[in-house]
Amino acid sequence: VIINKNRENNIIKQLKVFIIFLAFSSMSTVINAKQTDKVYTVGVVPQFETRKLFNIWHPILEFLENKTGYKFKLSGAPSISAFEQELIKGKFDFAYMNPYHLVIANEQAGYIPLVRDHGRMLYGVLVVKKDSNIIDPAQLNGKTLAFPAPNALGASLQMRQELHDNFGIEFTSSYVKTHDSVYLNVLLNQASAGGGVQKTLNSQKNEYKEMLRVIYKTKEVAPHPFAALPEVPVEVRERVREALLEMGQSTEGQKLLLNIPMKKIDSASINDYLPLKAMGLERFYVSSGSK
Amino acid sequence: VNINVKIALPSLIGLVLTILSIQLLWQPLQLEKSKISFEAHTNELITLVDSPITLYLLENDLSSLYSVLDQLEGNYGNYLKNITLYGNNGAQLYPFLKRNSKVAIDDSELIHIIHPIYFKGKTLGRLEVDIDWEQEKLIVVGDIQSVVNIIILLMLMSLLIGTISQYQIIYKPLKKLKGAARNIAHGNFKAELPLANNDEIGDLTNSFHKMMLELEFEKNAVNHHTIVSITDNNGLITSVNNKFLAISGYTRAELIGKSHGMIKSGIHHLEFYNDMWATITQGNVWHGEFCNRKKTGELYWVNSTIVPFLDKDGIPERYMSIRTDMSEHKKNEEKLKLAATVFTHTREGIIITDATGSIMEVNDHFTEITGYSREDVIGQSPRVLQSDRQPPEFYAEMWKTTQTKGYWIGTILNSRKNGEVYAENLTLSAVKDAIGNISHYVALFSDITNLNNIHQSELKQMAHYDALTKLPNRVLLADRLNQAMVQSQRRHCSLAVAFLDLDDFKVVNDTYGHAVGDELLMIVSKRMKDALRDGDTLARIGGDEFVVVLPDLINLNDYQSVLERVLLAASKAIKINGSILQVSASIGVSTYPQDGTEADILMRHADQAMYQAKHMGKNCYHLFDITHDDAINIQQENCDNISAAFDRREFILYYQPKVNMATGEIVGAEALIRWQHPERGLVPPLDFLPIIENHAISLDIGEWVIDTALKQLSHWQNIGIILPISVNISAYQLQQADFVERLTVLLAAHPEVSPSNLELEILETSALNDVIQVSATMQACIALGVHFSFDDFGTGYSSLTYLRRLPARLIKIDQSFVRDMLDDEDDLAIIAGVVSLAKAFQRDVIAEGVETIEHGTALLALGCELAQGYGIAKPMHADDIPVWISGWKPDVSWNPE
Repeated sequence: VIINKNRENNIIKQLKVFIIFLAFSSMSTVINAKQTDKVYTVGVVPQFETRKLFNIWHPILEFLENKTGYKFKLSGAPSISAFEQELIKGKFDFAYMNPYHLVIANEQAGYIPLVRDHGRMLYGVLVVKKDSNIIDPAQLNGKTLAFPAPNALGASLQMRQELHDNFGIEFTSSYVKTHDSVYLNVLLNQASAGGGVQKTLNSQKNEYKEMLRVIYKTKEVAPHPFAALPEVPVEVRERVREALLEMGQSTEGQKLLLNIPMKKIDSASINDYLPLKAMGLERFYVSSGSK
Repeated sequence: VNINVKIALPSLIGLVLTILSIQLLWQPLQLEKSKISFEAHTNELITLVDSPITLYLLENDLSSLYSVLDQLEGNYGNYLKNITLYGNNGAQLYPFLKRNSKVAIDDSELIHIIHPIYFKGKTLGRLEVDIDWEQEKLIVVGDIQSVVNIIILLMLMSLLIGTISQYQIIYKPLKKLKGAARNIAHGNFKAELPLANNDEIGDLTNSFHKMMLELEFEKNAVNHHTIVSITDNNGLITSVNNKFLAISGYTRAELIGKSHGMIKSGIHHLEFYNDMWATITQGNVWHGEFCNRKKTGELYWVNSTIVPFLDKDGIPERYMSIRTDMSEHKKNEEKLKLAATVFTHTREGIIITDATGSIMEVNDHFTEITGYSREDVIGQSPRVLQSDRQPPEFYAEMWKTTQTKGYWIGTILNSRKNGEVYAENLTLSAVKDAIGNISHYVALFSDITNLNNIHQSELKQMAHYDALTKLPNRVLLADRLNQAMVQSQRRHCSLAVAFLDLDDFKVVNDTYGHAVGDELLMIVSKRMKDALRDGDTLARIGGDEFVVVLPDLINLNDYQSVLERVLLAASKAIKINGSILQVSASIGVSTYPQDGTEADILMRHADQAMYQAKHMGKNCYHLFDITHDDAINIQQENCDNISAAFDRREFILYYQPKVNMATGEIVGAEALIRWQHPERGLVPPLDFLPIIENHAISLDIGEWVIDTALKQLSHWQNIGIILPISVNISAYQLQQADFVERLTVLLAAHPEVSPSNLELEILETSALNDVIQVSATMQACIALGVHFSFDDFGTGYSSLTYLRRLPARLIKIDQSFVRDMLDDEDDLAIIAGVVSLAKAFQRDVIAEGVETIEHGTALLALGCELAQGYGIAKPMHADDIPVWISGWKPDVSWNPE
């Protein structure tokens, strides 16, 4: 009887831990930073879950602090839309964002890109299940398509814009939160096709990848920039840019940067993102608060 | 089986039962309960993941859904098997791949749960889960197994502790008790006992200890008192106690394994032993007395009880013989018997009983009076004589008085064997032992019913005839001789007096004992009497001394043929108890009137002639030869000479000290008269006192002796010596009518002398005629303060009467007994008898003729402490007494302290 009770308690305890973990994973995380002097906030688009973000960015910011002598504080956001809201208001001194975010943030708050990955370009991919008979996006008229979120650049904004503008098809959009969900929705026939990006598709399990087929790619755009507010003094911005570029010189730094992911870091300018601005993506952009 | 195992067995059975009941009853119950609870918890878990699943389904967030379910599987996969989620269209959402086969485990241990997922009444899908109960079951079974293990461990520990404590509490003390019991069974009481705790074992130990002490005590008590031996069923000795060794003189090693035959005395018949064996081998207890022989060869009597120890079939397997040494008892019995035989000829009946009143000995006269034989009454109570004429209170009073005062005197009506009631004068005396306890009772009684008519002839017989041979005694002889002399004078013829002494009679007595000697005397005297003519008188005047009076001799030598016949008769062989005995006679003859005209002269001349005959080689007769005897005659005195000597004050008193040998006290001195003859020197009293016997001059001399003794007392008193003096007084003098008056005068002449220092020794008690008169005289003298004693006690026939009736304080044992007591057992027995009787009558006793230290030692052993004799001091001049007193010490051997 006693043993049973212990066992019972054990099970309940495990359950509790599990529930707490679930709750935690959907909440914003407070990132530690030193309070002395000026502390610069660094915002990061929540493309990964909070813990993973922290694991990626914390050592990079530590590196920057050592190199520059400035203090940095990682500032998360519970969702991409929340992040966008903050970004528009210029709440972060520095921010890592997707390219379309920069277009908007540059217009609204004046964020200036400092560095970006020069090792690849961003583009969206449209996947169907391998055994599907769909080979052309035109066949998707009237179907349900899965997208991570309305404003995901390559996977959603660009994809919807190009499907609309280039193929003229009508479809039902199912926003399923994450790229992983997009692929699963396709795999489990919950959607006829799904928008993703090459990078997230590559990171899927082999068994998933093997069952998916890309039927369309969007135009390539410069990948995610690390930008700064114009209010941040120039010398600070420059020292940060230098430190980051310096980081790309060392093997260890490269390893850290690869996690962002940045294969080959180099300076960025607003010119890199002007083609994107010209796409008229605002037609497909869904403002915060609406779905 | 060891008791430890027996005690542990219930615990072991309990252990097995506990394990079985856990396995068969408790475990299934627990498993069932666990299963129910497990299922409930699983449902709880699924309910908890219900809401995230619902949310993610609504949002189509399959990635998060997978994350939740993957985590669920990851965390609980060990028992949550086959987690499957189906969408509302029935398509499988999770896992990604169809489950083709179930996990290879026993299906019976899988619980399938279907959990539908609803949202606002709409079914979103369903979650199906298999719970693997096997894992949980194994854990529960493992838990139960560990409980079982703990229980087994605890029970084994308690078993171990229990066994150890049982060993300490029960087994160890029991083992010791067992050992002790075994030791005790082997007679060893030095067994170690466990410490007595305050529990049942402690009680047992205490009881055991008490029992052991009790047994040891009893065994000790038995060992202290009795002689114990144990023999096996073959009669071989297996153990003896120390008392056995002490009395037998053998060592234990000499006795163990031997038969009792080695201490056999040899005096019992084979039949005696056969009877004994027959009794005990049949399993019966044997009681009896028998005689054993010590290693030294000495015999000892024991009273024995032999108890067989029977095995379970009732067959004797060994025997315990318990004996008490009764040598002392036997000796006492013998002594009493002898004491009784001393007075076998008395006219009074004697009963001797032990302290319990059981009759031990009676004399012949008892039989004559009561009609009961000795065999009739030995071991009986004197109550057989009771006549019912006295009430019980009478007897009670009689015994009470005897016990408190020591004696009872009175008249009692008893019943003879034939029922006739008779009156008797009874003196009942209690005899006390050394420490003052009553050891015997002595009853003396005489039949007074027909005293005047029935016993007259008997009295006459007693007075004139010898009891043994029925021949005339000295008294009748004197009478007959006087008559014969008168007759011879008248008829002018002669008569012969023949003094006859049996040769070597003492040898017969010493060799064959008194009884044979007595029988021989009877036979010889009968034969000699038959050899005489009618009218001749044969008288017995002493042990083996006879006198024949042959009257009416026409020719002087006529006696010769008669005496030759007498010699022949005396020397004829006699067969007694299968022994051929032969004695002879030596005879001295004197004739009347040729050899003397007075009877005593004739007797004395015949006596002298008899000695001549002995000198001539015995078995012959010798006629008194006047010329030959002149030399002797010169020494013969007559009354006139003695009277003259008295007038010339030629007599003197010598004094012989009397002492208590035990205490060393000098109790007095006996005054002994001596004649300081101007020519012959100091003449002993026997040479002149018999001559003046019953003459008036003897009274004068007697008074002179008393007066002189009183003067001596006065003299000694003046020089600081207080020494009582005893003087001899003849029956003749005592019976003088004015004796008390004369004594009063003599005492008055010496008022400074205490009369209590004067003691009168009555000689020749047999010559006392009127006991009542003498008793009165003695009482009067005692009133004056003087004491009395009986001289020469034991020699007279009627001493017992005097002892009873006459108030003498002291009894003197005649020296004739004392002298030979060391060699002659009869004399010893007589002395023992006299001492016993003296004690019974509360009289002191003194022995005379104590010639050696050994005599004194022997007398002390018999209980006679007072003594006089050459062994202590010879009679001496009064002036020598003070020196002797200051120098005398009793012999060390008389007083061991």
